[in-house]
Amino acid sequence: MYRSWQAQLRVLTALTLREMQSQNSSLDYGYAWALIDVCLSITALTLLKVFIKALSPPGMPPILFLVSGMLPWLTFQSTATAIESAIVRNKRLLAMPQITPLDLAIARALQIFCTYGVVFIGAAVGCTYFENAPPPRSIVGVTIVYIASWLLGLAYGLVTMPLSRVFPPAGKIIGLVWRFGLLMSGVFFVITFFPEWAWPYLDWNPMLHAEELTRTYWFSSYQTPVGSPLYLTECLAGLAILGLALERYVRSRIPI
Amino acid sequence: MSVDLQNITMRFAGGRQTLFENLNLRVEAGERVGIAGHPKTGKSTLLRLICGTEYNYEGRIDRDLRVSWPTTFGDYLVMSSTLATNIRFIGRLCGVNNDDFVRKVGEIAGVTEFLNEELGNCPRFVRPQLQFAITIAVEFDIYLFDDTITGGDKDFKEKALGLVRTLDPSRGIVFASSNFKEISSCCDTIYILDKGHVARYENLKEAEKYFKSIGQQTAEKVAVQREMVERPPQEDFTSVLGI
Repeated sequence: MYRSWQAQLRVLTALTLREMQSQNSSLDYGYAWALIDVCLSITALTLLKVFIKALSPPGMPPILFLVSGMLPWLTFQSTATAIESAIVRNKRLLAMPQITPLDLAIARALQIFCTYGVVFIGAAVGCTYFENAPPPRSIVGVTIVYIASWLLGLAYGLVTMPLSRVFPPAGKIIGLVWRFGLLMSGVFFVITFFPEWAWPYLDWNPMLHAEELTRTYWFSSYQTPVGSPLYLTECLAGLAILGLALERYVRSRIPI
Repeated sequence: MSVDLQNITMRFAGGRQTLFENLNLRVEAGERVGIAGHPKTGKSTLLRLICGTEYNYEGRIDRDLRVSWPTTFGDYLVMSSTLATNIRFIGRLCGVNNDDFVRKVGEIAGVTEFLNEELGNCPRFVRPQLQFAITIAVEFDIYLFDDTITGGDKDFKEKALGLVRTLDPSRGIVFASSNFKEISSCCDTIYILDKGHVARYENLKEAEKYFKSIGQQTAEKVAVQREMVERPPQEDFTSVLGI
């Protein structure tokens, strides 16, 4: 048992490092471009927010408020959308008995986690200093919710990847999720911005819970009225079980 | 320790065509097995079943030893990375991540002067030689060879054949090819793959005779099919119209 876990860890480490090394490897400074890419995305969205002059809730520094919302969302979205492309792009590696489609998916997800994690820490420290804000109320809480957002992206990607292979138009439908998801997940707002009657229609979304919990653990002035760690865990477990089962089912039936 | 394929059936084209029908094959550690088969008989698929990268089958496979990927496979190589980086990836994957491994692979492949070069900038012979060397440098219980022992230049092919012949007796090989002569030069046991089954031959001459005879049949069948395709229609329009 211990040996198989050790072998699994070895495979994941090798694949994650390969992803990092091969990403932008044709450019000077290689992997640094991946970090720059994320920073530019955040800057663009922050400028957009400043431009539309949306208000941050009282007691929350505006840029830090955005960073705390955008990075969990970007991590979730990038992980979920990268799973399928990671498998298709590296499908030739599946000719090696050590590597399974699941390894490719997890390795890509780990690479995204490392990239966005570094940017998250850098942006959080920088913005806290820049806006002269107090440190997060619970760093452990923020970290756990951030990891949960990443895992949610991995599980969601594992569910959608086999679905779009069995039923290709599903990819189009899934694309719609991202357009609404950015608006409905509390990236730019907290739920108290919406009228109370709308809350039950919004709080089915597990990413909204992740965003609400991040703000609650970060800012002492905010207490979420809907965010539930239990609901987030349930969604995560449900999606993960469904995704793993679907991946196993499709693996032996539909070639990549 | 062995790889044991039991009653393997594989169908494709929605189940209309059968590649293997209740195929049984057992390869023990240290055995040198040759699988001779004419083109399109499923040799590469059989190798994938042996190493565990083929999932779409009925039957049972028991495997309690380490099997390599086919040595001629090299799609894991990244052209924009250096040879050393590519070698280290396999080293990490197989738990032999050290500089000695990089040097060892470089020496086997005869490409030590290119180790810090990007693979895409290296001469053409480097890639096939590297593919062979990386695989053979990792300690597997069974090495797989698909179609040929290795690519690369003639001298390297001879060197590679020598290395395969002098492998540690505890290490086995499975060599699938349509070149009977090449198989018989480094294998002790021959299986002939035909019509979805494998038949074991202890006697090399007998195996070669049978392999040639089925090759003759296949060639005749192909010739008949070609003739049918190329033959002009039996009836032209004048006969159809009764003119």
